[in-house]
Amino acid sequence: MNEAALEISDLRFAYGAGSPVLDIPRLIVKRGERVLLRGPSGSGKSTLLGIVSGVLAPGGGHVKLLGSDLGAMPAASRDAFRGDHVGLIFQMFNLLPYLTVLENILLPARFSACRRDRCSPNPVSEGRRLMTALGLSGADEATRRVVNLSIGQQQRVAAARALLGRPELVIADEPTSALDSDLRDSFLQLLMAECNAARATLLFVSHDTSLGPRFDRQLAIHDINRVRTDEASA
Amino acid sequence: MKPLASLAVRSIWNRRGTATLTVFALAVSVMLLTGVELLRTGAKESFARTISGTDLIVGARSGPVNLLLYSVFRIGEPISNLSWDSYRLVENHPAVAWTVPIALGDSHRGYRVLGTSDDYFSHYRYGERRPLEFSEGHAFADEQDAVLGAEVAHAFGYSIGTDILLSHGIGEVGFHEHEEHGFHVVGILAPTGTPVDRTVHVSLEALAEIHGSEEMAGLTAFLVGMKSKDSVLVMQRALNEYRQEALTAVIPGVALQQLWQVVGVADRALFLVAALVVLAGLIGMLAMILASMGERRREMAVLRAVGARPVHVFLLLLIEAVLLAATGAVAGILAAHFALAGAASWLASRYGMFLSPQGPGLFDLLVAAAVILAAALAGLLPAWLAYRNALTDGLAVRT
Amino acid sequence: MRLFALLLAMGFATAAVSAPKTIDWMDLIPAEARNRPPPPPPPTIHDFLMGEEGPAPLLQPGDLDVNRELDGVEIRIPGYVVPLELDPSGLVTELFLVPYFGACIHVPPPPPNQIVFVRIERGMKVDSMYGAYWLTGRLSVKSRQTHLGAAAYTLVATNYEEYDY
Repeated sequence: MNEAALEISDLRFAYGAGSPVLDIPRLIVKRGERVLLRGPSGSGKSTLLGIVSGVLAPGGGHVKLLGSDLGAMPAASRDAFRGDHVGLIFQMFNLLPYLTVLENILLPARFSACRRDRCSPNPVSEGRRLMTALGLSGADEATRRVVNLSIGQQQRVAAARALLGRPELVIADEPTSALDSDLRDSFLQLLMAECNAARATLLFVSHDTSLGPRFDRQLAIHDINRVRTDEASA
Repeated sequence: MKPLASLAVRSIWNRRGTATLTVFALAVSVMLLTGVELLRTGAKESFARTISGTDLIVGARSGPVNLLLYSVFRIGEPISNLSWDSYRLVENHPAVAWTVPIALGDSHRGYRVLGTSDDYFSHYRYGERRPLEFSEGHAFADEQDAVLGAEVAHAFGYSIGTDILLSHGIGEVGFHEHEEHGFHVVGILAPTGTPVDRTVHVSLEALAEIHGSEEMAGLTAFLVGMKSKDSVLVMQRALNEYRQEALTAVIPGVALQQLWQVVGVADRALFLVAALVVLAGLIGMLAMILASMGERRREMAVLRAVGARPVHVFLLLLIEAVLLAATGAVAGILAAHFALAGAASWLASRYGMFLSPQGPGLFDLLVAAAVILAAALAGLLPAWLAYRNALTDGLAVRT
Repeated sequence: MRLFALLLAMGFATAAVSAPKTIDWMDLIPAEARNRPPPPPPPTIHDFLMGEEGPAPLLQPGDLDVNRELDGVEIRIPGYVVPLELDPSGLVTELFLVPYFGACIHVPPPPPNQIVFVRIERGMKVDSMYGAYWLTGRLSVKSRQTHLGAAAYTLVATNYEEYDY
């Protein structure tokens, strides 16, 4: 199982008629690899994640995710593909305020039959298992309203949701930037443990260089992206 | 669709404060629209069924609608009385089959008293030529006899044999009670759903005696039935042109039609106003949804992240609009029916309007469908905005 | 197939036979009566109520003459509506059809052979008495000769339309 999780060649992207944001000749991420992607704000990291997750269509070149060419798919198929194979964690605002903790975690199962079926024996028990694994268990934690959670707890809920149904790729966009260092370390530890157990590929974006040693590989965005942007013009 | 519907419900529930206000505004406006229509059809029906089988109503010179209103609906008063000479002339005319004299002016505890002959009970028809029926007793035989409409008997618990007193004038309380002139209830009529139910019937001779008159009581109007249809128009013209006395003879169907033409204008205007109010309610709903769009962009990004497509986002907002409108419409329609059912007896006493109780019908279904459709159309705007945002936002929501 | 052809033929035949005949008010006066010399002016109407010798007949010679050829015929005739009976929803179920507006208000009524008493079971929505209507149905003709006249024409109407000018 050495096929690439992600294979990019000659990727170019610009927003609308603007100047190019991405120009990436080559990037390969192997299955099960844990990659840290670093770079300053506005350097195109989030855009790259948008393309890799199928939210944005590549402007030119090829983006192959788990062997499937995203550029060749219509938008609806990319969305479905993402729902089936990718778990996403954002920096903030990961959760729907009108659903409980458990309901938020179970969201992928609503939109992807694939993810729902991979939960054994059923999504609810898998959801609860993930809560425990990520340090979220408590008597009534599952039915708590998310607005009552601390930011650290919210990020763990987001992680549990990203991991439900064992997606092959987990993408995290600055998930620990709002956490203090203790919380950050424990979050990372739990996240990586689960990724290992599920044999998922982890693509982790952060501007924090101190996280490097935990990862199999570190990439600076400027190493792969030929487009240079000033922070001021971001 | 199902996961979207339950998400929409939870999303609305999360904002139930503003959602309730929006639904309330819609419900009130739909209630108004439904209520106006119910009143309109109810009033029309109530008026149309009040008198039937009478060829002419004759009274002192007056507008035809006015004559109809006071003689049949007991709304308003005549300006003057008729002479008995004119009455006899018509009564004895060879082309006339029957006449029934009517004297109004007295009351009993707020209900009107009608002086008439016992021919009233055999010739007065309502609905589609339905005759009056007695639920108990019979027409007056002696001078002091009275026959009660169904509601009068019910309101005060009168029965055969009860004695009642009459007051002069039609106010609710009489200061001139005719002390020596008690009346004896000998008959109670079955309910008709017309002003007959709210009337106390006595003989003309009895009324005359009360007012201390040797002759007959003042004659307010009389009903006429002709022997043959073709002489109706001729008799009507003759009475209107009669030189000895200023009279108005009216064909009931014509007067009712004229009444409706007057009412119809107001009624259409009212309906239009009510429709505009519903529109205002829908705009309020639209404003509410649009106002929430900002904070919901991140919400949409989350949904996109777990695999929702832009069209799902579009549908989610559309479903919300439809749910709000459907709830408001149903609540409004039910409220209108309840309110009218509750106000039924007041409408009957104040305006002579007898509304038959009926549950929601075809019109209500159409109103609900129209409101929901309009809401869906209005909801297209925020839905489309969300759809467009979903396409362009990517994963980084710049709000 | 042959049954179908038979039914089709019957349908055509019935349609041809029962297509209503459009008439106007002159047709209600029999041919011989139309050519009479103009009659003297009628007595004033209040004499109807009390002439010197009691109620005077208001009718002119020939007012009672009816056109028997129209008895039982399906006709279509335009006129103004004088409502007589309403059904519970306010539709007019019995009415006089007359040739001019105002017959019940401020102009002399037409003679009996220019009035049609109409029954329309399904009820007619009369939005305005100022407008005319076409009525379609079977006409029956009676002439009871009394000094008061006869309900000359009765129409059992099956259809109505607004009259477009």
